[in-house]
Amino acid sequence: MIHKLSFTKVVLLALLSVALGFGCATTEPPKSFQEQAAYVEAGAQSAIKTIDQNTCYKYQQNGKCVDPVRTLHPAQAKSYLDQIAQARLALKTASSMPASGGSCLGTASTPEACLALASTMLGVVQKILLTTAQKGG
Amino acid sequence: MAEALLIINVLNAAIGAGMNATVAIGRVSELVKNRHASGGTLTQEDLKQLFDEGDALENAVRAKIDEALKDADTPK
Repeated sequence: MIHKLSFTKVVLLALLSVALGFGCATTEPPKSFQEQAAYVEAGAQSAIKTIDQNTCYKYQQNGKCVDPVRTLHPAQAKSYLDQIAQARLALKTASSMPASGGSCLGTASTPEACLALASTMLGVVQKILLTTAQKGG
Repeated sequence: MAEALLIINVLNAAIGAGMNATVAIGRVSELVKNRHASGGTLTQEDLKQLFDEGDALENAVRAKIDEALKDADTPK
């Protein structure tokens, strides 16, 4: 069991590495502030879609999901969605903040720092979503 | 059997997440490329449109989750 799962992880890591390498080679790096914000927003939207695809919206009488591939309980999905909403709020705040700075989720910040906060918050949820998928719920 | 299902689930989730990211980021890349081709860069208006689309997506998923939670709370 352990050997088989380890092999799977190695294969997955290899595939992810290839995909990352391909992505880095073909995707032009963002330059302007708006472009950086747009890429973070794209990541947020993909995370929302992943939550949607993994959430169980209907359970059977025995408590199992009608669709066994959907391993995320709605309450957990709501919690993740709330975290993404917070990250998106920081992102929108950053994109409309004057260069001199302003409040980012209640803390004094610059647009760049607020964008970095949004990106970090989103990264935390993305990591949890990936871990959840690997654990199978 | 359980191992096979787990591996299929992991692969399915990884492929699904990867495809979501590819589609979303690919769209922004295309937008940026088009703006650069016309000698410009992504505008505040472009960003606002992306945010509006994100809001619509977030609201739609939230509504489905809230409905599922309501069903779970309703005694059968």
